[in-house]
Amino acid sequence: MNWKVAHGIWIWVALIGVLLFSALFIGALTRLPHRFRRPLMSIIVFLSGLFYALEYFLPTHLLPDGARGNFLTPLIPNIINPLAQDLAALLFGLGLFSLLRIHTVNVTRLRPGWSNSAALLISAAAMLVFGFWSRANLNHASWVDQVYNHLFDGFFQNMDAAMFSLIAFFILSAAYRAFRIRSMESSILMASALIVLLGLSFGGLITGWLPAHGMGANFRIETWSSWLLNIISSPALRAIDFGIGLGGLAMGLRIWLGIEKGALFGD
Amino acid sequence: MDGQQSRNWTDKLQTIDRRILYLILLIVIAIPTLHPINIPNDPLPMSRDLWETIDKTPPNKIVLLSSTWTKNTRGENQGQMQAILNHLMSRHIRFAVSSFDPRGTQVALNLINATAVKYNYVQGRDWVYFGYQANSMNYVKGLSVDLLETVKQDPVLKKPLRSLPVMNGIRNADDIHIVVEIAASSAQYIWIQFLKPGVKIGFACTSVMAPESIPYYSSHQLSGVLWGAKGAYDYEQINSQHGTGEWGSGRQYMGPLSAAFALVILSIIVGNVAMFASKRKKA
Repeated sequence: MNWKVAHGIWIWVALIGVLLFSALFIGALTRLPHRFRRPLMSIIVFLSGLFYALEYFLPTHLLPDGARGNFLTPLIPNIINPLAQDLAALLFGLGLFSLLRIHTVNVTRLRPGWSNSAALLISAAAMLVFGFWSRANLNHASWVDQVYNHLFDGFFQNMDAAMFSLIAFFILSAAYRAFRIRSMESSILMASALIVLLGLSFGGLITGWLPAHGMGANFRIETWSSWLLNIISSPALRAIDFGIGLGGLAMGLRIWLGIEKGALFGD
Repeated sequence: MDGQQSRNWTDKLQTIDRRILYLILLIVIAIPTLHPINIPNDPLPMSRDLWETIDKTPPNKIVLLSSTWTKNTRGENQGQMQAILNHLMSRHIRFAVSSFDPRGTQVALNLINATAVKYNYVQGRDWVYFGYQANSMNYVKGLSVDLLETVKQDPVLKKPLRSLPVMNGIRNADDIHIVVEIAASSAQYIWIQFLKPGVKIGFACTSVMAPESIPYYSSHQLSGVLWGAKGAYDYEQINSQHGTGEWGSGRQYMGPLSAAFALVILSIIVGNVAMFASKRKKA
């Protein structure tokens, strides 16, 4: 069993078919009575999880392509992965639709901050049009690529970097005002932070003259920094990860078996 | 009167206007940016291990780069990826690129295309693009079973992977020597959890993500780690020692970064001295 790549006119047939099917399926789901929604979601989640559980636990043998697996394993590259990619694309569309709906209402009703919503709509429209024009259609003029590159590399990427760079200023301000020695714990924390900070930056300028091996190496800041990270920090992180893993396993089981009363199954 | 002046001085120091701090930081970063300084560096063992693992890639295998970073962490990730690309291309190692972030694909392609010109690397012959992978878990599990069916085609060349010379002899994860995740987030966990055992994994990450990866490096689940901007500097230094690449942003950024760190350390000390001086006067 395998998906085939569509060519020529069949791309449009497949596209329209998928859109029609999705619209009908989502329409049918929204018309489903409330009392059936939770059992339906529980069944879908359980069957989805069951596939991975069986694929992992059932005995394996050598597959024709040289990999090891069982009869469910070849379904992952051939069926499950394309389906999951399509689902992700659908979710992108859903997110975009929701975003556009909210901000279009903001603009049309001139709500407070409507100019920000207008900026978002114009930016999204520009990126959508030139993104698709540049990437999906191979026969386009060179200026389309130039506009897309200006929008993505020139505007978006640099604004993204500028926003992130502002953190440096806030870190300095916070370090100056908030990082105070008020207890033994905070003293240990600050000393450790300073040693690691020095070890990963200009510690070599201070203790780089000491020998790299032997007794003298024990007095290098890099050695202290490495000791703190590998001997003190690493076991603590392992313990935290272990706890997170157990919690994740419990939560996963609760969701899979439909007994979690969270957002997915709540009223 | 003298005590009053001293108290005012310490109080003023504690409530210094944040705009003055911002201005000082701007000046401190600008000076080493305009007049570069070399910071002595001793590459970390985890950086050396990553370089050596990549360097030992056999001719019948490829390296898979997962580029899950964007320009907001270019100070760290761009230098790392550039140094790794220099290493791969100077050694004529075949490689593939994918991303778990839709923005990361364009960033990676820009960097690869700029580097490929210098080393005469041709897409489809020497390297291949696997594109944006929205569903990371199924993608990684699929690679272990059937790489050619999981990815199907190079989305830029719009050609099936089977038809590309770079994919000769490559069928599944057994033919990948090492996966290097270059990320701003904790994307390495996907590879550790779902990639077929036996395939090596490297991680090039931002400094804030690096401590989390040390337990996995200690247990050899990660073959090597590049630790933020220092990792980029380390890799460039090892590249220059072996003639597999030039100096780049790793060394260039280490001066301003160290100056900023020094200012942070100084500000913590000054802030605490002012606090203790103020407390003593009040007592």
